[in-house]
Amino acid sequence: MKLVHATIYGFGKWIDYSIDLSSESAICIYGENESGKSTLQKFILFMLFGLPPKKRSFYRPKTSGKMGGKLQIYDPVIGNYTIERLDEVQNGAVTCYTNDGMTHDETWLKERLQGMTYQTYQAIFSFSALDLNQVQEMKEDDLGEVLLGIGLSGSNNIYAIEKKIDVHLGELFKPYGKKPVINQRLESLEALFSSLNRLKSEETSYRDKQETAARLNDKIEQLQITLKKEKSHRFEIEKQLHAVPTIRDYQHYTERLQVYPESITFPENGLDRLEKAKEKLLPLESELAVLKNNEKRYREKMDTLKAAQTEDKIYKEAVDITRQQQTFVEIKKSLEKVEVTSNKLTLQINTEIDQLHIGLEQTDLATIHFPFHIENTWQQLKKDTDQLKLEKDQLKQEENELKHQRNYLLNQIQELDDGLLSEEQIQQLRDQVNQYKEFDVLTKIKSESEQRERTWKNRIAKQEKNSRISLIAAIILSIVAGITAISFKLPWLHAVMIAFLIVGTGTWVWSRYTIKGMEEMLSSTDPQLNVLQITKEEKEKAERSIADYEQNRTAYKALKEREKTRDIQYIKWTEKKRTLEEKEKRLYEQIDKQVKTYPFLQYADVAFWPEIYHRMQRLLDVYETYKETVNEAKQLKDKLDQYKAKVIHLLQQINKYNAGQSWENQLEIIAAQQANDEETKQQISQYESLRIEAGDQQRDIEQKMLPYKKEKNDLLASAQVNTEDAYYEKANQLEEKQEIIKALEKLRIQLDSILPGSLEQCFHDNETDENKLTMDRQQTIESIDETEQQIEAARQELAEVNAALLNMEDSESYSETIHQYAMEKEQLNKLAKEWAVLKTAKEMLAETMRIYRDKYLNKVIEATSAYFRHLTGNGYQTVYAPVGDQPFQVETNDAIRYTINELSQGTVDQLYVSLRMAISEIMSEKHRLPFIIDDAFVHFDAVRTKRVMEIVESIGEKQQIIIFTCKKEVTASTKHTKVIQLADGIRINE
Amino acid sequence: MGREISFIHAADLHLDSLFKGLANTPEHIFQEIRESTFRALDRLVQTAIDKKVDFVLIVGDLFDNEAQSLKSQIRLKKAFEALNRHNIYVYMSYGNHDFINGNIHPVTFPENVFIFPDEQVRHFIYEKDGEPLVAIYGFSYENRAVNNKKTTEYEIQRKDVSYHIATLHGSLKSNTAHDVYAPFQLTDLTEKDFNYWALGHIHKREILKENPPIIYPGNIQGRNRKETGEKGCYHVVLSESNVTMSFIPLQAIAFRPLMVDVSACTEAGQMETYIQTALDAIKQDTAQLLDLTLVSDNPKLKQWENDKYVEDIIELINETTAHQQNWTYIFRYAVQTHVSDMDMEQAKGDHFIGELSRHFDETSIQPFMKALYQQKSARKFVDLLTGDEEREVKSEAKSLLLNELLKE
Repeated sequence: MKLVHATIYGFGKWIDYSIDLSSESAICIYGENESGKSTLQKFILFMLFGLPPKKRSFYRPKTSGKMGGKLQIYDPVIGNYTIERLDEVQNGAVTCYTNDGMTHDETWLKERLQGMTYQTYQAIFSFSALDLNQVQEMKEDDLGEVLLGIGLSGSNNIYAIEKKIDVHLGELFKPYGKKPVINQRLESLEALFSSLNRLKSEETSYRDKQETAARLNDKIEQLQITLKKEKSHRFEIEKQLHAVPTIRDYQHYTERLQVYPESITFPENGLDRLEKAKEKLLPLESELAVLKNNEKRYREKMDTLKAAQTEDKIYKEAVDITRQQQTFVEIKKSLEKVEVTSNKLTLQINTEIDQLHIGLEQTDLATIHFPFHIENTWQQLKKDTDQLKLEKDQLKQEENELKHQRNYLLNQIQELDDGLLSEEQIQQLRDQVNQYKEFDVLTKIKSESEQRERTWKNRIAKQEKNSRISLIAAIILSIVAGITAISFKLPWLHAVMIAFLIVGTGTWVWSRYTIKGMEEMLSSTDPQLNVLQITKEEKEKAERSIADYEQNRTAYKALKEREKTRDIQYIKWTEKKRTLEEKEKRLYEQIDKQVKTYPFLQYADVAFWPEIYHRMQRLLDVYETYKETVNEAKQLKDKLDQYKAKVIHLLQQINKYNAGQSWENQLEIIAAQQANDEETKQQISQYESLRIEAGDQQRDIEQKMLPYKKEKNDLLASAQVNTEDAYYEKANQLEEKQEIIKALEKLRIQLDSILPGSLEQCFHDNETDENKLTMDRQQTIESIDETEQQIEAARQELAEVNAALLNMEDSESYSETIHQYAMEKEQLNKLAKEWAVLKTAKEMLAETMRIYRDKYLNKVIEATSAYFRHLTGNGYQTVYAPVGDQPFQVETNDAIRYTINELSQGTVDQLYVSLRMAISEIMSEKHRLPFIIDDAFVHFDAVRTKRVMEIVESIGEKQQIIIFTCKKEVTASTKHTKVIQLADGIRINE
Repeated sequence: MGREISFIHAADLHLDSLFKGLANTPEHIFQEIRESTFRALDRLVQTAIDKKVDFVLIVGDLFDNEAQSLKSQIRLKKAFEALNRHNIYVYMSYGNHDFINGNIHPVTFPENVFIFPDEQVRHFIYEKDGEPLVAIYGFSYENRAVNNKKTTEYEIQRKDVSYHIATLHGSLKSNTAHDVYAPFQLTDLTEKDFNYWALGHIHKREILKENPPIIYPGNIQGRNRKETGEKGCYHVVLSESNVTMSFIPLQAIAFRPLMVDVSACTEAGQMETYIQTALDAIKQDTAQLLDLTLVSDNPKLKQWENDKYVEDIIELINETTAHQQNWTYIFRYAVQTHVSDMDMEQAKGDHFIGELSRHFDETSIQPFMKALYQQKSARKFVDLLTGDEEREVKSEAKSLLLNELLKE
């Protein structure tokens, strides 16, 4: 199949363009970049295989409405035919025109193309620089695989697909993996499955549980019936047991009843009646007995008391002593008090004497007596002595004072006399003062004249200034007047000008004159001052010295006056002293006289005599009192001794005297004796009255007892007994019998209620069976307990089963889990299917590759080797296809083999080109489609380009081959190739 | 007598039965799906109560013995109790899925429930106001299958009742799409003098005959992509002279096929808009599970599928729609491209692709599957591929490879 001629109506940049592709050799279409080579190439593909609408619209020309074209093709079987495609006709469908005038559709064309599609065509019969680039970008490891893929299919992505699928498969599932999705899901399913089984078996137990519940219900019912029976049995036994003691009692009472006589005579209500009589009698009898007993006792008591009584005389004496006792106690107390006082007084006197310490004894006191005046005398003496002493002191003081005054005055006079200035000195000072006063007046006058001078100077300056201004003004005015006069030719103004000048000059001269005068006057009034030697301070000092001098002189005169006065005073004092000495002599004489009379005074100073008098007087008073006290004590002692003698006498009479006894004891004994006697007397009279009363009462009671005694005797007679005991015995007998009868009746009623039926029956059965009954009862109770426990247990179990059932009914776990499980499984199956697809794809691809390899690889490699040898200029001899682990290998002409990873990029490129061309060659054996190469050798150098073009040309002999290129070298290196220049579409023949 | 009776005719409740083809659904949807048969049952009960019917007929397959959960029994019991509170009787039989001997959880139903106890055709009398009014005939499956013809056993027994209703769980002899149980021919039924033939077993609702009515009510809740559309029961009012039947949908979730043409899409992302538009157009009164088929004349669709774009887009759409009140959820999708004759052509070439195509046609995939399908733990859970599935896998693998090889 060959392309013969292409006519483009419109396709991309090509509009109404035709190109002749008929050639016996290869065709080289040359065009610079952007000249439309690729578009032309696309056009050919479009014609052959059609294009989807989107791509068609891409190639729709901008400048023409038409899109499409036709392609004339030569087919060795059919011959020439033309295919035409128009975008707007049938969606770009093809129309084929054969030489026999028939038209055919797409299907027909596809038959011609023998299963070639756009994509497969591109993969096998068309390759470009782009494909080479892809190869260059391959990783080294992959290169062999990629090349193999290319070697097999022409497509370089088989290897990529294989890898991609592998990755996907790995993500989905690994036989021993954990991570992949399916593995994970399997794991979770496993877990779900086991929990599902568990839940299922749980739910399966629902049926068993229900059966259990039913069974338990039955069991409880049965047990309850049993329980009821057992309980009624227990009740029976308990009733019988309950009756046993009652029956025994009944028998017992019956036996006892037989002991008693048939009838017993006894008065009606006899016991009560006897009791009542006795009740009345008993207190009376006991009272009577008491009274008798009392009377007897009283008599005995009286006898005893009478025997113990003392004599009357002694009793009276004792009374007397007792009566006086109080008086003597008081006397004794007084005596004691008086003795104490006397002792105290003695002590006081002694103390006083000791304190005075004037050589006195107590005995001296009896002899000392003071006349009435002595106190005054002593007082006077004391006063005189004091006076004398006072005067003596005063005199002494005056003397001292006088001496002192004199010394002072003498000192003062001496001092003043030394400090006084001489007369010359005073005169000098006075001169100085006068000199200063003169100078002061002169200074004042000078300052006044200076003030005046300054005022004048000011006035002169002012006047000078004024005169100058007026002079300038006059000049200016005269100039103005002059100019005016000249300008306006006013002659009178000349006169004015002169007038001004004269006035101005005149004024100025005048003022100068006056100023001069004034200045002269000023310089004349200037007085000259003398230089001064004395300062103001010196003047003041001199004045002060003069004043001091005057003052001291006055003081000196006064002191001299006072010295004379003192001398007179001293004479007066000497007189006074002589008088006092006289007075003192007289006083000492009087004192001596007193000391002779009262020698104790010698021990004391006159000054204390008045006090001694007072203390002696007090001491004498005390001594008097002391004497009186001693007398009183003697009297009291005499009285006491008399009384004691009396007491001793009495005690001796009643034989109770004991010399060791104290007086107080003795008195107590007497008092006790007396009290005893009095009590005895009183008791005797008391008992006597009691005795008489008791006798009276006895008689009353005996009278009261009489009717009750009669009643009692009557009762005994009625009961046919003699003694009271017999009466009571009979009463008891009667009562017991009646009680037994009553008890029997009660028991009968009880038994009738417990065990209705014949009593005799009961008597015989139960007595022997009591033990057996007790045992029966115990057994029944135990079995009831057991049954109840069984019921309880069954109920418990039932409740548990019911709860479990309820729980199961509420539980959705199983339902939920089974759904979960189903969903998970569904998911798994989905994934499994996904895996299956990928796995199938992978295996199919691998197998196809193997088959394809077996079929074509050797041929392809053979062809490749040939091309490769040529391209490398016999550098490499042979290409070896990969076998097993062995990758692609090439052998150099010296038989060294390299794996492709060891080859340079350029060599790999050549290998790739060789492979592609080999495949297309092999494939074209069947398809015979034109081979399109789009600048695949753009990077080849001139030598290699030449070699490849040689190959191209050799292919071109067997198969149509079209090369698109933008390289002049390519066109240049061709020999037999038809070159078409695209720029103008002109055919260029070689 | 002229007394009117009304009843509900339902069958094939398949309570708590497992759903098919639902992988990877979000939790809340999964829960709703799981609950859907019960919700349909609740609606059935509510309908009966609302319509104040005399009784309810349930003709077999109330649940699946294979995956029978206690829950289904208990919920059934509760439903019957609700009916009992409204004095509505239930006449039910067991079918091939809930046959008596396979029931692992026998539950005692309330006294308003009458169950045909065995394979013998028997009848119950429904009395209204103390008078026998309706005779209801039927039988239950004791075992997994009843293969003999049961119609001969249906004979009218009581002449004194007004209405005779036959319940039959089985299929037409001619219907070979399903397992044929208790086979019958239409004439077998019409020749008897029953007022109503209440059928069960076939999940697709069908009125075989109007007079007398011979009706498959279908199941009450669809369970896979083939059980599409509304599912429910028939409300029947019978009088001496007339019979009216109205279908009442009960399903909680509807299965629905949806086909969307995405030929106009040049980019995978554009499909979303098309699918969304199609979804918006769907009338929606219940939640829906959608079985989406994407159709395109652009071979790229296949490529998009291989590259998981389609899956991604659907996931995206599901995320937004699955949380609405009446949600829609695309649980399955398929892709159809019209371009398929390419394969034919390629198979002819000598080139690699031709070789590959031919190899696909000639080779079985079974040996490849061993790695997974024979794996120890996988074997337990993975279902073996059926012939159809095998073909499907093969064709998918082929198109995957071709797409990849010819990718530009």
